[in-house]
Amino acid sequence: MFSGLKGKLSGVLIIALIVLLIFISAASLFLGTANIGYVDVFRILLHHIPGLGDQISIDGIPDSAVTIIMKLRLTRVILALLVGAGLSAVGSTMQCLFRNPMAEPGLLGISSGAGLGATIAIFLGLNTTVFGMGATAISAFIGAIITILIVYNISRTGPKISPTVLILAGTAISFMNSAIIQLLMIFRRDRMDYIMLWTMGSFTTSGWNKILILIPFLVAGLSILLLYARQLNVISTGEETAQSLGIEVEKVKRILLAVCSLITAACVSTSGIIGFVGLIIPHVFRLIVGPDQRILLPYSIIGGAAFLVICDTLARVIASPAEIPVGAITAVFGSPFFIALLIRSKRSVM
Amino acid sequence: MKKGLILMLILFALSFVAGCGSTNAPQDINSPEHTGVIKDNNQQKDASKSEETAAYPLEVTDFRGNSVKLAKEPQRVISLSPNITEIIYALGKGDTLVGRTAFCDYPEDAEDAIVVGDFIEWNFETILSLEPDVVFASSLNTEENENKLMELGINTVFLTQIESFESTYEIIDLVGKVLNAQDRADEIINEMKKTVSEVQKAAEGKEKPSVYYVVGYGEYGDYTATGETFISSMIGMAGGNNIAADITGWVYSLEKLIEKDPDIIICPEYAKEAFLQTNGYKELTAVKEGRIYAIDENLIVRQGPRLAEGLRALYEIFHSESISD
Amino acid sequence: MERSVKVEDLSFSYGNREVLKNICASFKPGMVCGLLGPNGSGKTTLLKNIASILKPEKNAVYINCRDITKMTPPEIAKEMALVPQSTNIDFDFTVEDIVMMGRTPHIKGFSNETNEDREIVQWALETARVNHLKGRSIKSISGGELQRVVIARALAQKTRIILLDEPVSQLDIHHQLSIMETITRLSHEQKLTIVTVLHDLNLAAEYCDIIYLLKDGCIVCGGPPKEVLTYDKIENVYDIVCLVYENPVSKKPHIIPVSSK
Repeated sequence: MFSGLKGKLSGVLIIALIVLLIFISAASLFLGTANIGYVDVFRILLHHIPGLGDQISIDGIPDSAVTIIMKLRLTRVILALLVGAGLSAVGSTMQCLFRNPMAEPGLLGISSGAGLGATIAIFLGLNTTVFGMGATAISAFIGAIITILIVYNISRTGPKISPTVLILAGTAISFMNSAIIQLLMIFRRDRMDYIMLWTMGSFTTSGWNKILILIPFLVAGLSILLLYARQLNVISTGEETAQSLGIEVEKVKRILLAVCSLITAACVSTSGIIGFVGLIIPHVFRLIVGPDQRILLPYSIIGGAAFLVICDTLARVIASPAEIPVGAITAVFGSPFFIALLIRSKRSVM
Repeated sequence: MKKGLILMLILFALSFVAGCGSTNAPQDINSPEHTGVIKDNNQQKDASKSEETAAYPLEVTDFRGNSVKLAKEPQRVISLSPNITEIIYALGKGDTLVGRTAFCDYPEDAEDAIVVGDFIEWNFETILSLEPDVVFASSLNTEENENKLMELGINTVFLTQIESFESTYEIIDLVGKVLNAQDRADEIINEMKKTVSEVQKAAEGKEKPSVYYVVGYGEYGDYTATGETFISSMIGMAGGNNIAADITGWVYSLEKLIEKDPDIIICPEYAKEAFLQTNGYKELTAVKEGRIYAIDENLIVRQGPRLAEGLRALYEIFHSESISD
Repeated sequence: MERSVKVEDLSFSYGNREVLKNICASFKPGMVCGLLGPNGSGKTTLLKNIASILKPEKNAVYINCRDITKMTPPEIAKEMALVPQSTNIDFDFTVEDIVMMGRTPHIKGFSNETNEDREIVQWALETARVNHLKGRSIKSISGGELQRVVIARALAQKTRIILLDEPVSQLDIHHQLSIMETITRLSHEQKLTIVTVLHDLNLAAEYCDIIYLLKDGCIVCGGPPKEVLTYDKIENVYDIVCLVYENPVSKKPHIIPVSSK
């Protein structure tokens, strides 16, 4: 078994992974129901690069092709990339923070809170739009934040948070949220299918507005997670140990929880509940590069982004023109891969 | 996952009804914009009657109150609802249909058009790549999906469906106007109105049997067309007495069904056998005495040109006699 | 400057249960101090109060004459290292990674370790005799090896005060002696203040310069082994019958338990 790649090797690997991510994203732009030639795709993309645009003409390419590339495929790829990176980074951080291999972005009820928020918006048939975001997304975000605040306050004794209580409270609130979602679905059966589809997650309605809202959350959030990676390493070996090594454990925990919650809430409210990415990608890379968050986190971010772009491309291409919910793809293709990796790592330990 | 599967099954049983647009949000009906739309449509109808063909560029106001501009007569049309597909064919404009939903199965010719989605999922890329001049959407989807259509600059006419039989005329009228088939639309509407008045005349004075319309049953729960639905009002128009007319929200219960013990049960063709086999329903008088009738549910759930036929079929079931043309 | 730990009139309760009552003790540089007492006597609680893992009262624990409650965690961690009773690490860190974590209080802000940090880690690995394990996964080594790795981490912290909670209870006799020898050597040579909870009375008698005997949250007595580890005091604190001889080699007391009372 690998016990952590160090130094040069991990540097080379991460560059390879970034190249792979770019390649996957490009490939995703070429694939789709509509038949648009590779050359045209390139011309359209280059035309939209500021400064370069004037030299590349897109004459002769139908408007619909330009709209498909710029407003559909490109926004989907970018959104999938951002959400994948965010959820995977949150998963990696939470697994360390709680020293719990099952930790993932939905653990503290954030996803179910977003689901309830979205359900209420769909239930009420809300139609307002703020900052280019639909009522469903805004309501989902509010639901997520309220849920995490409730869970946090349940598990808090003074300034201390007990991870066990936090996880239990999160699970309990999740069940309650799901129950309310189901109740609401019964009362608005005509909207039931939309609620269900929302909870399965999708990038169908991606758009530049969603990307612009997500970017500040992710840039700020991921930077903070990266800055705290070394502290988190120490916390992952035990909270008392971390405290005796001079880390203000409760403060770091609060900061990381807040950041994780905000990233998750932003991701889930723009794209619905996409499971699995946050659970599996960090584990996969932990098996490959070891548990050091300073190395693992960048891998998780890039790996999560690449994984979700692949899954979303499959979601749109496999059953074209029908779409498969991306959450189903992540589980169907992710699980066997993950299980294979588990078996292999088990074997090499024994 | 199992729960999800069950829900999907319920949905499947219901998709015809839900999908055919009998279920818009109630606030739409009384909203001031909406009454405005109807008035506006009537005015435009009056205006267009003076001319033989509609003049393009044409500007129409759809059911959402959006103004839709058409530079020329649409040659490439996408329908996002089965009832609209039926209307397009009835108007003689079937050759312009390039895209449809997976549920648009009537007339058979329509199946040549490319599938661009179902009721809840639309493939925007396919829609765009078909380069439609106009897309007809029955406003059933999420606001996000609907907004996305607008955002992509697709010329979309929303035909928000209203829980009344008469709203079908408005839908046919607007589609006719957009596709330059106003005269044919008027003909269809008049034919439908004629059938309706014949049925209503025939039903007048006759004893009203109590009726239950099966939408969902068995372990997935009992669902029926409740009072607020246009299907319920059709049952009334055809001389029946919908036992669920006093409640709303599609949900019913087996206990209530047994208590009310309807004279007649109507169910979709595909569900009749299974319904008869399911425990609990066997005790109903209508089942014991063989008064359970299968009906092609597409005739009564799609707000399209065949709705009048559906009404007649209901009358014939209720009163065991046919109306000759 | 003298680096000492002083405990003045410290009481501590878990909820309503008072675990420490008016504890007074002082621990001086160059001395190995043992905390002894039966289970539940408050040894570990006292150690955790000193380490500030549990929050002590104000003006009860002083490090170099500073009230510990007025110090920030990084300040405390630069003065004092802790070797906990048991360590359970779920993640696959290497031994070197874990020892490097001992440098945490010395690494500023969000920066990374320097060459100096690496040299100190190397020294700690060698001193705790775990250098040969350096590249191994922390999950693949034995309990005794893990204990020595944790001691190495405490050494890497380069503090003048080291607190240990039963550091040798999981080790074989060879490693028990070797760790205790290392600790006493460091204490005497580098004038470190060592406070260690011990269970083995004979080990304490052998290696500690000062011993505090605790019972029911109170210090029964404190002083050099010869004064503290006497027949009557052990019998009183532990409720046992025992014999106390003089170890012919080291001239320290040697306890032979006979029976429980």
